[in-house]
Amino acid sequence: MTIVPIVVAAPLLTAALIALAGKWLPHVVADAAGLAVTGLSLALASVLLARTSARLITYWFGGWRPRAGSFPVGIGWAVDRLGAGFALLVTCLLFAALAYSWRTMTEEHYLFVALLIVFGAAMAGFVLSGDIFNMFVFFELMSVAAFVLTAYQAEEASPLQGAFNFAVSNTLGAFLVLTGIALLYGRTGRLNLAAIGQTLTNQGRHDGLVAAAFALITCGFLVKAALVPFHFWLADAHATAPAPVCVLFSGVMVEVGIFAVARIYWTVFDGVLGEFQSPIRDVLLGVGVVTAVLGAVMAGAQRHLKRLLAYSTIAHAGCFMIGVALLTPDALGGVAAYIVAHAFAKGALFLCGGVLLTRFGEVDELLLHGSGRALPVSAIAWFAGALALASPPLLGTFTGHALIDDTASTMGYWWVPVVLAFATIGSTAAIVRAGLRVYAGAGDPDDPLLADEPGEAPPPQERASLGLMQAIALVLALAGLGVGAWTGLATRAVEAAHTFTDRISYAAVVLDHRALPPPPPETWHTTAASVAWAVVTLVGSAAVGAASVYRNRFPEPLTRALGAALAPLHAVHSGNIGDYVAWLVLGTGIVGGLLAVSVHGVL
Amino acid sequence: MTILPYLLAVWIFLVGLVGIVTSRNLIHLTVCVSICQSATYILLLAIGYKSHGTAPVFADIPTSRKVVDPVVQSLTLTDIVVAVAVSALLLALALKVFEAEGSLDPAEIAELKG
Amino acid sequence: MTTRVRLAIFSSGLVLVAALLVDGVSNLPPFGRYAGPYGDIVARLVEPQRHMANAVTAVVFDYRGFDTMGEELILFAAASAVALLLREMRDHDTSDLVEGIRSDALRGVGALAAIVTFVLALQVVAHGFITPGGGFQGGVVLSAAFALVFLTNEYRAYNRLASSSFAEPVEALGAGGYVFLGLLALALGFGFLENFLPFGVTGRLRSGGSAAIVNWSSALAVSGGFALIFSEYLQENVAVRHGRVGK
Repeated sequence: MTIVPIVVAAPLLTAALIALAGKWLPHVVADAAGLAVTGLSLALASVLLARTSARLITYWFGGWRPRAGSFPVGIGWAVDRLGAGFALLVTCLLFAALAYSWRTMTEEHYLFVALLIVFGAAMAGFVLSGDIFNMFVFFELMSVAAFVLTAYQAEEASPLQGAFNFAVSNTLGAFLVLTGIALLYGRTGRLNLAAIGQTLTNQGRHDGLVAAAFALITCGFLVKAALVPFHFWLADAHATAPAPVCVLFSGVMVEVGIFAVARIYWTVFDGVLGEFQSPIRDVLLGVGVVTAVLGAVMAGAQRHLKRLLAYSTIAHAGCFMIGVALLTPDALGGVAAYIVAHAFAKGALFLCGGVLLTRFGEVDELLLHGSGRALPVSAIAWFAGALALASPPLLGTFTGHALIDDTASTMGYWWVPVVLAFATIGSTAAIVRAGLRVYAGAGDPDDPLLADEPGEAPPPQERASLGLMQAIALVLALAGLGVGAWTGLATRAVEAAHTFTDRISYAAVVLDHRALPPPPPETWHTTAASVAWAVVTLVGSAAVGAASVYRNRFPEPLTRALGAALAPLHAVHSGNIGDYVAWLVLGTGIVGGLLAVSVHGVL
Repeated sequence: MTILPYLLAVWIFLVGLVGIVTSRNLIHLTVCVSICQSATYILLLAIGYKSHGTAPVFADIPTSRKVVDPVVQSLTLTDIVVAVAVSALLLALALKVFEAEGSLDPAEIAELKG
Repeated sequence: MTTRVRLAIFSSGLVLVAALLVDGVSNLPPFGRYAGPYGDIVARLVEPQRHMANAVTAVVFDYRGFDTMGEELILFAAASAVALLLREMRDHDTSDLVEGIRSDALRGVGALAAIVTFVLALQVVAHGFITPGGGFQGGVVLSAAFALVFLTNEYRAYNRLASSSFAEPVEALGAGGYVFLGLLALALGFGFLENFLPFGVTGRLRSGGSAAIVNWSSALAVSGGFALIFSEYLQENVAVRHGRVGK
């Protein structure tokens, strides 16, 4: 299976070449090369997705394929269907981001293209990898590239502050992961995911070390996944990164953290910690719920469009974690479907924000009041994206929501659909409100509940055409809607999730070269309950969004009460890195502590 | 004590965290981040140590001789490069913040809020 | 958030994290009694399989060479980032600034030291598979040689040797070369980054196979990356002192 390494190596080589020669070549060459190699990776990832429908493809680097049953001395990749699908999603978004940045005229544009490609390739490598330290290396590669891309075109302090906070937070998260890896290596002496999982299960000890390793690695990836209280860096980073970069951040980078938590749990820890699924589930559900609610509430109080969308991402990340936390293949399949729809829809919204910034030099919702009327294509893209996120019946994120809701209800967690609906309505209403204000000129030009924030400095470059940018946004939005309409997605996602959660077969394929057993055939039917919830979220998002435009006219005591409730939240999101790290430490202590205590043998 | 080196690594990590949270200077903060990083090196290398083991270079010793673990050394090498990369980046960002704001105090430069 | 609130939050978290970490490390095998199979297997196999004497370099460039490729790219990304960020700030070319060291003795000794360090660096890289050393270590020593030139000689001399326009392509070449070698192995029918050249004799300079080439490639990448980072910071430093920064 030689195409496996090419998916990641070809873009990396091209990025190095672009960096090498880009100074002397015309910009369009760098752009074209980037698009071409991303297109190649996209095609190869699609082939991988097709070939993994009934197989798990392993690839051993350096020719170090171990004989069946012998010790894996090299680095192995294990490509399963969810991994291949995720890699495909990454390449699609990367392609859109590169196309959007086509013919940007700044001098260092070739470096931007090179780093963007490195970022995308690193994420693809991360999800395909089957070796824990190799995952760490790609994790750091994607992080460093992300830090740089956030600080790109930094002419004022705020992008730098965003990049700095982002860098410190995520680096600390990486340290937590590395400490966990060190502990696992100390106990098992292996770095291959399947091998570690097998050894831990055979040893059967769930003592302080295994508990701490599980807690630390999970918390480290929760930082990347921007879950509360590790989420503070996300809004800052999104507010300052350029729009195409935000597409990747919200679409796949945060989701990589979610994927990592799931991957590490299912291949490494499920064997030895499987009997503690119930308390683990409760802890992770708690984290997901708090994140979903906080994200929705904060989104409603933002006037900086990109910060608004960032908090919406946080809300959805909480929902993803709820799905993963249920620890069943059905819910995990739902999360996969949800991530795909969300990525396209959110990407479209960010690109619309970028168009507004380029055209008007503003991302402030109130200052843009009515300006969007000159951009009808953007308006359609914006509302199509909002519609997809509102999870209407049979469109957009509906499939994901329905799978998670149905699974939760079957397991007795009746409140999960309520939380998901709240998160969806809260965050999407904010998007609807902003859209109405900007593109329709509706509502009052003032709002007592919105925070007062500085606007982003306009990018000092000329763009080839607003038309192309808007067209890409529209394509992404329609793709986001269409994902829900594709009836085959649910079955495929759940089948893929079955393979993902099957630790024993994973180890058998990777270490003993056996064949993958076929996943149980899935048939999924839309339930009446899920359609009902979909109608609730659709109507709710539209109604609350429309009402929010007139918040100025709400009765005084109400706005004062809401404002008082929001004030401590705003104070906590202070922009000060010291505060963020303090919360990160507390979060590791509490969430990590709870996870460790749940699985500790002693108690 | 047989876990003292590991406790040392933990201590250094915690000290680094204290430095980050109480820092009033972005450059000091960057150094504290690299202190946290050093803790992970110590942990890795301490894990791989074998008593009476020598360096895993067989140039003048027989292959049967007991050596310390070479894999953790390779992991540490990778880790060091990552630390360099992140530190260089953070310092460049700190420099630019100073250019733009005239201050390196995290509390004073916080413009993105809410 | 006030400082007091922050410290309260942090202290409570710190206690919990400390407990978690201590609990974790106290269950590690006692210091010095590590029994993990990975290192032992590699140490046993490295000479018969790969004819390499230095097990660490073998792991870095052969057994786990793919990780090293990722790491080179990290350095590449960071060095490009530093160049990108710091270049935007300077509004004048700084190559005309004269910042010389006056003492002839210092310049002479410095030049000698730089030459010796340079040769040492090449030796460390070349003997990577035989003695402690390798691409990384040698690359860092190489960039130290350049730094010595700046410290004991003048800024323009450093610029002549390792300016950004030289360091940047060298670094991209090193990082890209690593990936290219991996793909080349693939194209020749081997695994990605597989060691496909003859392994030579253990302990001789010509050992290591294609991992030796990768070794040099990473030395280029590391020295180029560090030289680029130094160059950008030095230009920054000099420009600030001569008032050439800012709008």
